[in-house]
Formats: sequence, structure tokens, C-alpha cells
Amino acid sequence: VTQELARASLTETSRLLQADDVSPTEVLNSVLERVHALNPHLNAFVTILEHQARRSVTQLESQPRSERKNMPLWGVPISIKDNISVAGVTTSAGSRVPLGRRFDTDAAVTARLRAAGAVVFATTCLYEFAFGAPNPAYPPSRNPWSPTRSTAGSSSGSVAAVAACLGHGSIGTDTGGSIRVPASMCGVVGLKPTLGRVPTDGVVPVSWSLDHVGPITRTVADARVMLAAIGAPLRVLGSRRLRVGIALDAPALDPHVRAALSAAAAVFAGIHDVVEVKLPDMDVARTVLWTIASAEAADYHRHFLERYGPLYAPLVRRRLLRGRLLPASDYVRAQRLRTALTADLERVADRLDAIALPVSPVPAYALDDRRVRVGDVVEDASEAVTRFTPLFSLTGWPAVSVPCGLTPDRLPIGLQIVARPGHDETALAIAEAYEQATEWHRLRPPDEAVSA
Amino acid sequence: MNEDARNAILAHAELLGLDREQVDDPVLIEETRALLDALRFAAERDLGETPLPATPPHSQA
Repeated sequence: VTQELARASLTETSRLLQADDVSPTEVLNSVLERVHALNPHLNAFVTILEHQARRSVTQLESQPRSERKNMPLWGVPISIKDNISVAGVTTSAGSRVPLGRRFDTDAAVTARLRAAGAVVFATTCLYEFAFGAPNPAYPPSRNPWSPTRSTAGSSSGSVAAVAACLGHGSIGTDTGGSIRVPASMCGVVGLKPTLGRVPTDGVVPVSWSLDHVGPITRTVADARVMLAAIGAPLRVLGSRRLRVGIALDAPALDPHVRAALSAAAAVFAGIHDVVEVKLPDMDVARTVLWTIASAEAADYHRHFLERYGPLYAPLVRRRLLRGRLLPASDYVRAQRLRTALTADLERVADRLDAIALPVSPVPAYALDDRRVRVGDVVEDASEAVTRFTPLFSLTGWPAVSVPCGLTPDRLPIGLQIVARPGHDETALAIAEAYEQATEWHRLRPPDEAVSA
Repeated sequence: MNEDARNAILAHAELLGLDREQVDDPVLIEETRALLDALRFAAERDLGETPLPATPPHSQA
């Protein structure tokens, strides 16, 4: 029973909690039991907040029953990426650079989770400053489907935890793909909401004009519940048939990814009105994103970099220095290209409700690989896997990654569904309809694989 | 590595007051050059002679 509680979806667990069929203590115990058994193999967490979580549970259990009806996450164990403030806990941002970030107050998103009744039980591992690679001081999170494989990043620990059922949801951040890409690599749902829908107060910034905060869960319904708790209210959808653009014909895709996406397109055709679309140039979007993100990150790190340069991972330090070296006129051109890409995307999406496309061109790569082959090109791994995600960071469109297949080596493949800004509910509704028509979201990595 | 590109970046770094030793890294120079080339190519192709927007980005007009 204990194992089943930890493995249940967030919505199912919440239903049991609200009905008093299980207590917050039982749910937390079930999760912590798995955390202690499996986290040593996965490195999903930076800090396990067992004492703080037990205190939260005691508090929740002493509340009058009438109060919990308005608390959609009452008693649900949730973890938080370690670049988001949790009161009384040092925020590492995955770095040895002493940011001096130990706050008495929660980040806005943490406070909203608590107000919804969530039990914050751990902070999760990430790429250093969510900007390209893990710092060697922090062992990288391992992919629960194959611990010799990467989770990708930067929300590495969050996706590993949710995939391995170490908590019922997690909060990640996404500047160019850092929720969606690792979610696709680990077979979970990752939502980058509309830009600005979830506040970034109390989050260590990568790029102030591009940073997003969003949920990582095992089902789309779970992501909807978490988004409702941490973001502005969702719109209510009508019941009309939706029109979805499919942009799956990308030039360089791993053959298994291509096959999974073709199968997904066939499923879509059975549910929605489907048309093929050609998206704006993804390589330009990626170039624009790296220009803006590098420059904005470099500004935030200006003083840290001068003082603590050698403490950064070499790749992260190089990216920050690159940002320092970019002329202001090129930053302005990147912002103008961002506006042009937004107009292009609007044109493509004319009369469409949403667009479906790949998340990553390749499945999870080996943990030590710094470069991967995509078609005929060998690229830096962290840049290769973000081929299809930056456009929606730049334009602020909500984008959700849902599982859509497994390779013969049993590595997950993800599908990305995007909608217009403010229409997060449309992206979620289409993702949920796909989920209900398939079985991919039900597959979980076996514990034996995790501890192998 | 293109020596002209290296010299240009080092001169720019000096203007910014950056430590030369930190910046004189062939990989950093190559990656910076590649990013700028890609951005400028895209700007030339996609923005071309497009004038700046008539309304400034933060205008309340």
C-alpha cells in the first residue's frame, strides 16, 4: 500500500487525502521511504527537508477539515528546484559560488504551493545556475530509465524525482527548454506556462526576460492542478473541435523519435482537425535565445564572475564570459529578431488553436557525453537537445511536453504542444486528449533499473 | 582560430575592463565568434533594411 501511495498520480492522491482515506503523514512516509531507498542511485535532490516537511504535515493535520477544500494540494509532497527560495534553506543554484542566498521568506511560487496545502519536502538538483551543465561539485542526476544516461537539464533532479515517484510533483524553471527537454528524456509531463503567468520572484535568474517557472508531473491533469495553484487563473474551454497544426517533419531527427512522432500525428488526426504547418527557423530562434540569455545572465553574474570565476563549471563560465563580450547592438538585434519571430509564429498559427512538434531531436544520451550526433551533425549536447524549444521561450507561448513513446532501449520520447499566450488550458486540453488516447504516461521506470 | 577575430575580441574585452587571461581562450573566442556570425547573418536576412519600430518598446502612447 505504501508503494502504491507514492506511485499514484497527484490528482488521485489528492482525492484520497481530501476524502480522509489516507493522511498526509502516510503519504509523506510513502514518499520518503522511496526517497531514502532510491535517491542515492539518482542524485535527484540537493536537500531533503524531512524535518520541515513533517512540521508542515503536523500543521495541516491540525487544521479544521473545512479549510482543506480550498487547498488543492493539501498534504501532497512536492519538491522544488534548488534555484527557487525555500524559507530557511540555502539555495545552491547547483553552484559552489556563494550567492549568500538563505532567505527567511519563500519565493512567490513556494509560498503559493504552501498556501495550496503542498508539503515541500526537498530541493532538487540542477545544472549550475540552470545554464548548461552540472557543476563538478554536484554529482549529476541520473535518468531513472537508465542510470547511465543523462536526464538533460537544467531541471534534472525534478524530472528524475517525478519519474521515479519520489514525490507527486516538482517545480522547475525553463529559460530555453529546461523543463520540457528533461521531462521528455524522463517520460514525464513538463509545462512551461505563458511567460509571466507564474511569478519569478525569489528565483535565481538566468535571463530576466526569458525565465519561466512551471510544474513537472506524471500526468497532464496533475500539471493543471499545480498550475492553477501557482499561476493566474485558467480560462474555461468550450467544447468545440480544436484545430491543431502538426510540425513533425523536422530535417534531423533520431529515427526512433521520428517514428514515435509520426505515430503521435496519427493519434492527433483521430481527435482534432489537423493540418501540417512549417514553423519559423528554429536555428535562428536558438541563436537569438542564446544571445539574449547569455547577455542577461552575464549581467546578473558580473560581480560573482569577477570574484569567483574559478568556482564555476568551465562551460558555464565560458557562456557567461561570452555574454559579457556581446556588443549591445547585437543584443538589440536579437531582441528585434525576437519580435520578428513572434510575428512569424502568429502567421503560422493563424486559425489554429495549437501546434504539435518534437521536444528533443534525440532521446537521453550517455551521462558523460558532451556532444551528440543529430542527423549528420555532431553538436554540443545541451544545444542540440534545445533545437525545438527556444522559439516558445522567446515568444512566451505556453508549451507542454508529454510522453509519446519509448525507443527499443526503453528511453522515453516527448511530444511538445504549444498554444497562444494565455491559452495554457488549450495546450493542456490537447495534451490530455492525447494522453487519454495512449498509454505512454502510464509507463514508469522499474525500481530495479533505477538501482541497477 | 582566426587571428583577426581573436585580436578584435581581445581589444573589445580590454575596452570592457575584462581580465585578458580570462578571455584569451580559443574555445570562448570561437564560440563567441560563431554566435555573433549566426546572429548577424539572421539579422541581415530577416531584418534587412526593416526600420526600427515607430513606437518605442516602452512607450505608453
